[in-house]
Order: sequence, then C-alpha cells, then structure tokens
Amino acid sequence: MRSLGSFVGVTMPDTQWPRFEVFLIEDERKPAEHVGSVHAPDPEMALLNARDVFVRRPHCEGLWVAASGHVLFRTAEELARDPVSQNGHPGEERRYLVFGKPNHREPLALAACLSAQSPEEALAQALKESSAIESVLWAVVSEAELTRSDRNDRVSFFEPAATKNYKLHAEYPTARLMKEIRQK
Amino acid sequence: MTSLPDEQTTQLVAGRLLEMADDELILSHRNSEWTGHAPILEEDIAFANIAQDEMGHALIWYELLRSLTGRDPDRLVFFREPCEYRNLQMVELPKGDWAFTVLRQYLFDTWEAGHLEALEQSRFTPVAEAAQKIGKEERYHLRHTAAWLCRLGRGTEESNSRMQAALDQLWPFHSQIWAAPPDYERLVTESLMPDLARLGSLWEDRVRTELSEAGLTPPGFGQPSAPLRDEHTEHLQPLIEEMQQVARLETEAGW
Repeated sequence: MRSLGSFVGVTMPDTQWPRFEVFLIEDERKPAEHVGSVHAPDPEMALLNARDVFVRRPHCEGLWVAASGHVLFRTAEELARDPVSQNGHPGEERRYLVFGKPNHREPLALAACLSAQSPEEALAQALKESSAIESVLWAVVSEAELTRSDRNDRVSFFEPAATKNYKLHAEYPTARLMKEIRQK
Repeated sequence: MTSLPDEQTTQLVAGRLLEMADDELILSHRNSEWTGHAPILEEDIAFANIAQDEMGHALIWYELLRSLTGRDPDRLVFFREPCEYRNLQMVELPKGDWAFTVLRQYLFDTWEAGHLEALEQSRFTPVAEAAQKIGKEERYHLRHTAAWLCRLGRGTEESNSRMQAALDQLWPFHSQIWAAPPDYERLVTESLMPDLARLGSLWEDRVRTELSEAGLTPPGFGQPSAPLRDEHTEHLQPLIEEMQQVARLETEAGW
C-alpha cells in the first residue's frame, strides 16, 4: 500500500474488514437504537466488537449487528430528491425493520416492523403508513440479516458493566497527595 | 464459612491467592502492552478491556489476601522484587506477535474457566463469591479468545503457521499451571481449594480437542518437571522494573 501522504485528496480504499451496523437495546421497554458501526470479519466477531466498543459500561439488554451493505440508509433530503417507489424492486417477501430519527438530537430508533419484498418497498410502506412521523434519517434492514445477542449471553456480556462506574478525576486523591508531598 | 480455622490454613490459602493474583496481574500487564498496537481499532478497545478486567480480577484476589494477612495490594504490586512474584512463567513471556498473544490468552482463559467453576464450590465463602463474580467476565473473555483461535487457526496458511509456532513455544510451559504449592493438599481435603491435578487433566483434554479443531497440534515435548512458582524466566525482571518505575519514583504518591 502506498503511503497516506500520496493519497491526499484522493478517496482511500477501505483496506479494513467489512463494516457492520450496530443496534442497541438499552432497555427492553424501549425500541432498539442504531448506535454506530464496527469493523469485523464476520457477524460473531462483529457482535463481540460491538459489545466492547459500545457497552463496556452503559446499561444494555441486547445487541444486534448487520453487515452495512444490508442496511439501507436514506436521509430526508435524499428522499425529497429521489422518492422511493413502493413496487419497483420485487423480491422475496421478508420482514423488515424500519428505523427513524425524528430530529438531529434524538436517536435513530426502531419505528416500524413490516413485511415487504425489498428494503425500498419497506421504507415506502413505512412512509405511507406513518406520514405524520418526521424523520431526518431512515434505516431499513431485513430481520434475516440481523445477528442478535442471545438471552443467555446477558450475564457475561452486559452484567459486569453494572459494577464498572466512571470515576471522575476529582475522585482520585492524586492532586491532594501531590500537594502534600510538595509542601514537605 | 467466612473465616478460616487456624493460622496454618490461613497462610496456605493466602499463598495460593498470591499465585492467582500474580497470574492475573502479570498477564494483564502483558496484554496492556497491546494498547494502541492491536491489529485493528475495535480489537484494540476489546483487548484493552480484557487487560483491564484481568487487572480488576487481580485486585479482587489481592484484596482477599489483604483481609487474611493485612498485606497492602499496592505494596505487593509495586514494592516486591521479581523473585518474590509467584506468577506462572507462561504469563510473563513477552507479548510476541498477535498469534502468540491470542494463544496464550486462550490457554489461560480455558484454564480459568474450569478453575473458577471449581473455586465456586469452595467452602470458604469469600473465595466462592469472588470466583462467581470473576467467572461472569471470564466467560466473555473465553468467547472472544476462542473466536480468534478458530479464525486464526483455520484462517490462512500464514495465520495457521504463526499459531502453530506460538503453540510450540507455549506448550512447554503448560504443565506449570496445575502444579500445586507445598502442603496445598490440606486445602483440597478441607474443600477450601480445588484439586489442581484433576483440573489440569480435564483442561488438557479440552484444549487438545479444541486446538485440533482449530488445525493446531501441541508438540510432543514438554518440560520434564514443572518449575516452582519462585523460578522465573529472564523476561520477568524488565517487566517488573517498568511496572514499578513510577511508583518507586515517589513512594508517597497515590492515585
């Protein structure tokens, strides 16, 4: 591979592993949220990487991952420019999860679960059924493409986080101790 | 039971706890050497987490040791000489390449899985409770390490040969893992600590099967007899010097 310097201004080819989108269930009473992505060679490793990158400390009850290529993302601007057609992509009938982000502050969260023949059709259907819902960004993924953490994994994946609290710098006695040493 | 019957038993339990704590500490230090250098960013984060977990496990055992003997964990870690450490030689070896690190972590994680499960049965409640707490996290470590073992062992020709080279280098150290300290038998008889030889043979069966599934074969040679825990390789001293450097610069400092 050539040095980074020679590629300034040129799009770097992604030489890393494939990317997986990560969805997190903070609490089973709340909808799943898209939290980001990880690189991994396969779904099992993606799930493990997602656990380490996103939920070492926060409370979590479940994790899902899906290869990025299987997740359809559409911004509100893109949809305004190029509306999705409800019947342009015939395929096998599958269950799709549709995520919406009401505004830039709120998360991209699960908004609908419906059957369709393509992600585009699922999105068109969701837009039609919930035209009242504003969203700046949509994400659509087939349920079949998701790899989910198992209920049995909870104890080892998520429970240890409960005893790992962030410690603020003021809670460390270092500054006080150093001051005492200097005074001597 | 929450207290030990006599002074001799207390010393024996304390001696074994020191071995367990030192294993976790030294392995944690070696793993922390990957921080900023792991193969990809996600693994860097994952492995730093694992290093930190092992450090937490060391602290659990050192704190239990303190409750029995009054010895301060910080003094034990930062002001002991290398010859006073009781860790396994396997964990003090330099981190090597990623294959070596993964294979060592796999051997240690599988050992810990069986060892902690047995420790949960200890009649000494503080040990049983600590083992239960550590065990939860170790199940995750093992899943992570076993995933790597299988992908590198069955990956490319190069990844397989690097894993095999790591196994050839580590295997001679494996029997020290179940070597018991003097008079340890008493603790087994009183159900305070598990029978290490029995755990060792179960562990060896398990890793032989899993290594073979990953396309790896343990070499047909080993150490004629396992070294004692006060014998170390030349690699421990530089590690301890680096680990203790800051603490020894200003002995009254704290954090």
